[in-house]
Amino acid sequence: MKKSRIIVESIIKGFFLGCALVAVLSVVLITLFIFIKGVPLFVEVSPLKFLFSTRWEPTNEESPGFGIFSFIIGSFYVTFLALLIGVPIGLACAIFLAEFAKGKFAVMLRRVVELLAGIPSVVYGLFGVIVICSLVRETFGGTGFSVLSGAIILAIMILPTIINISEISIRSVPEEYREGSFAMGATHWQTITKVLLPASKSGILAAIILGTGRAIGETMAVLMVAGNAPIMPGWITSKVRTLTMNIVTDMSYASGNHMVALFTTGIILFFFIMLLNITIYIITRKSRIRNA
Amino acid sequence: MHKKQSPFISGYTRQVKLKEKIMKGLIWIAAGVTIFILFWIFGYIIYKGLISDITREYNVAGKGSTIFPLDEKGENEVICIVHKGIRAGDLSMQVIRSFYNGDERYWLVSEQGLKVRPFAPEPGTTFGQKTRQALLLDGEDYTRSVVFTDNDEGTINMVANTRGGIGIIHAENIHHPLIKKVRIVPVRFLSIVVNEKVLSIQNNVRLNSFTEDDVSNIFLSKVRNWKDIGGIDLPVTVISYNKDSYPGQQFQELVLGNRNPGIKAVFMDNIGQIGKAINNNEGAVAYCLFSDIHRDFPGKIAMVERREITPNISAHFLLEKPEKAGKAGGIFDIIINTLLMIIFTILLATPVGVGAAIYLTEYARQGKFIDVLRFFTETLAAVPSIIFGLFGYILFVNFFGWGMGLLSGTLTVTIMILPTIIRTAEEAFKAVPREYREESLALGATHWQTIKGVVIPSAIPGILTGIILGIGRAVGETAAVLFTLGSSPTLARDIFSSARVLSLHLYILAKEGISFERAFSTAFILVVIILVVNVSASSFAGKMNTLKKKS
Amino acid sequence: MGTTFTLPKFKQCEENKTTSENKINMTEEDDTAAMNFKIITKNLDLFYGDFQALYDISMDIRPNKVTALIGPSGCGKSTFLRTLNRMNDLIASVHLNGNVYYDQTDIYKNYDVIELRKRIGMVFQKPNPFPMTVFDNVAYGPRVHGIKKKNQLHDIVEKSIKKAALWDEVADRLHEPALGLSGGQQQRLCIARVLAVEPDVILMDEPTSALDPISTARIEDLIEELKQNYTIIIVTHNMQQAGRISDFTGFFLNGKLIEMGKAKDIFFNPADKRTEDYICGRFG
Repeated sequence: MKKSRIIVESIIKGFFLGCALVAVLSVVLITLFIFIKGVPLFVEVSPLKFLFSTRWEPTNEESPGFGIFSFIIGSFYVTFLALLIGVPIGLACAIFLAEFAKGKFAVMLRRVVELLAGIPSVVYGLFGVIVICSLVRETFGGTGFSVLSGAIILAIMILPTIINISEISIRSVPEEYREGSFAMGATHWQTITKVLLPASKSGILAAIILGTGRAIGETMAVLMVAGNAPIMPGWITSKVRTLTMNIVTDMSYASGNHMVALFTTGIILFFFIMLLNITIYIITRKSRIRNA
Repeated sequence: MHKKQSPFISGYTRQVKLKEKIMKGLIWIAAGVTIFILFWIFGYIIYKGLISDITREYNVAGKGSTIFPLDEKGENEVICIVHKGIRAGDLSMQVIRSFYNGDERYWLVSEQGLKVRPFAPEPGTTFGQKTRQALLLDGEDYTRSVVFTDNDEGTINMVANTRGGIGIIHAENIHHPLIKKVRIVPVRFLSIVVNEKVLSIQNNVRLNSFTEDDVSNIFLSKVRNWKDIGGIDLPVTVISYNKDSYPGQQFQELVLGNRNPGIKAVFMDNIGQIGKAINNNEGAVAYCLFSDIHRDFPGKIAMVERREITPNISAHFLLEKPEKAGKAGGIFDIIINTLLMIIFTILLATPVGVGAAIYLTEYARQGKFIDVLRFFTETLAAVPSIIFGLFGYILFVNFFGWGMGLLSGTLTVTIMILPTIIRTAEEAFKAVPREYREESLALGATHWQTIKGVVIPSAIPGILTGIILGIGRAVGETAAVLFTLGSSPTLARDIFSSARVLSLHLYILAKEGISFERAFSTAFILVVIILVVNVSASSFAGKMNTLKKKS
Repeated sequence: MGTTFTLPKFKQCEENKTTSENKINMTEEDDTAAMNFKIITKNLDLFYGDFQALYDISMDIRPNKVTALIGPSGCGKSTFLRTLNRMNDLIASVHLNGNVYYDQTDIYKNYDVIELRKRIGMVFQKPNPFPMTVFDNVAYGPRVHGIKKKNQLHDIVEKSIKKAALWDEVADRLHEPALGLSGGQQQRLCIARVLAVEPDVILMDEPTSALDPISTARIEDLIEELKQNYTIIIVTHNMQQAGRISDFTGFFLNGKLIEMGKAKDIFFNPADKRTEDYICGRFG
């Protein structure tokens, strides 16, 4: 009787452990499969050439070119610009929510942030195509399908990430610090900039990195607004293709080495994402240790 | 009495306070901007989703008329009848012509995917000949799909019984007893014609199309030179039918509106004279019946813009199958596909996600192992959806050979939303007060019995929040389903069949330029789903918070 | 935002004192007597929302003395202390009736809160140095009030830390994180931080309750020293401590000031039965 109960209990525990391992297994499988599919490209194309050549002519039968340098630059260009727009606004909103928010306006902002996080990326894309692209076209000239349009849409998309995590980290600064600062006659703003923000900088940094990850990994919205030309982007009005766009665009018709090159592009993308993720892990762990 | 004193403030404090005020102002502005952005996006999508407001260019101008002539003499007045199921508001003579000569085979003008079934009177009869002259350019034949009828009654019957049917009958039969079985649609039949020179390019300027206002201004002599309305530098010469002629009266009524005082122009009697006048005069503009324009007509038809404001979302849109790659019909199948995908995804992801959360909160002890589990869950949450797409494509579509379909797509999305469900469920379990567990264990329940009987029931609202958030993420996902779910816009028959979902449909409609109007109405549905998801998630989250407060 | 604004700061504060003394704003008859008090509260009621936490507190605080506020926990003594430099402003639900005068000026009506807190510093129950270096902690106040010159800052920091009797221990670790100091050192750092702003009054909210006996003794010695230049008001749980360091003592119970007087009188000859009960430990 007792024995059977123990067996049942351990079977159940095993089941739950299995569930918890699904996430681990998925990450391992994702890494494994993408590498298995993508690495063989390096038999024919040298990794350096793949990473640092700008010639992307995978369908050229005589001498196919598999250089994704302009897409790497494109990804970082668009992401950097998106951060430039999104971080100040997001940080300001986080400060607002953590420090000034009172009453209905704050409740509304909180709802707004939740909703912004929920809007599907294709809807952002559609909005971008019709509204942002034409705004950019009218203001800066060009076709409107540009680095800037992509960056604006991405900036909006990463706002919730930046706002949420920054707000949490600002809020988690102990109340005593605020009191200590106020008691010395510091203004609210001085308290925010000189005590709260420095004390929560690791959280804010994590927010920015998470936002970066989201921006680099975003596909559909940028695909719809950024022009998708496989060239090295120039000024902010020029068309651009990012790593994610490169995968989606060619996937529908690619075959042979071309197809493999898309998985290799996936590896590079995955590499950047993992790099960012590990950075966050280190930052947050450090701060956890310090807080303890 | 107290005298109001102004508080003492040092100069520096004053400065600091001013700076604070400015910065606070900026913060408020940023918060306002964020709220504005959301309202902008939502407002725009909802507005565009509900109302289609587009300006289209037509070969014909003015309003439609139920009774319309086959030629300028007005002797053969006819009406156009269509099958009851056709939703067209009015038709242009140009569209009718392309129906009869086979250029357009589907009822895309009414956003329906039905095949057009044109009926025409036997060409042997006089009426048949007249009709044919009006409906076709010279020397052309009816398309093979045109079916001939002996008389108007036959036409009415055929149109009434054929889906997609359209026919032309004598105007006097408008009160025919059978007419109730069909729909009569107004037809727009007057075209604006100009000399070629008017539409030519000069100094990078070219008149592409007229607005309706342009048309009345031209014929009321308010526009003296083509450059006034964006054309080249050329004086306008207005040519018109006689005021009492049949086309003249029709033009006065349908295009200018009867309020207008009448045309000042060179007046002509028939299409032949008008053609010559246009040919001889570089800045000439005239009007005529679209059906009178034949191959040797010397003028060019000017495009006239019409602003059409119509509801963009309707019961038809929600309840009909998509047709013609989404250009026509509705999105019913796509909604069902989306529902199927979500149901399967939730059925798979909930037990696994909740199970993982139970392990993390109830079984695992703090330490390296749980750190590793957490790290992998976090990583999974950070993997971009396109990578999930690639992974699903390699593993499910190719490696397992399931092809693009419901099964591959569902599994991919399941893995994708796992972190969301795990995280929310974990929060929910953590919020269950410790005493609940202790009480249960003290009563002699086993660990599993405690979890089953106490922990899970009190965490239900939190688990539901996770599921709803998962649904939200799954509904909007596009990149991951692009290569795994397939894009066939039909109802999935089994778990292997390709099934297009809402987000993908929206993407295809917008990307391939099929129809932005329909893209917006699809986006509208997505946004409504997201709103519902959000409201219900926060209501469940609210319930979870009350539990937290209790503890 | 130049040095022109920052340099005359300390002078200005003194001017302020004289100007505010000139603007005596009292309606009571005993103006001359009132001049002798640093802080006066009149009929102070305080509410947290609907809950009344302080009832009709009228108290006079003498300059350059240590005034101790004692009473069981929840009696309102900390709340009262926080009204003196308007820290309760941070809590939205708080509102109060009555007046608090600092140097004859009503601090709720005629004092800018920033200026007030410069004059009336506060040390908290739990040492709360900011997560920055020792130097930056002490320099925080002067920086916030506009001093930017490095050597000036350095002088202030050194002077303040010396005054707080911490210099010997931290002189060589000025640029290490303040959170690395021991609890007692942290608390003295917090006192140094307050001193750096050159206040007139220092409020202390149970400053030793989180410390070990040795650290406590050092802080008590420090208080003894500081009272020559500052007016100190201290809230404490510890009756021995109040007895040891205070010149005047006020006893709070359930939001009311039961008795206030010279420490000797309160401890050895209380007028009120409840005070006696509390002093003798007969109270909950």
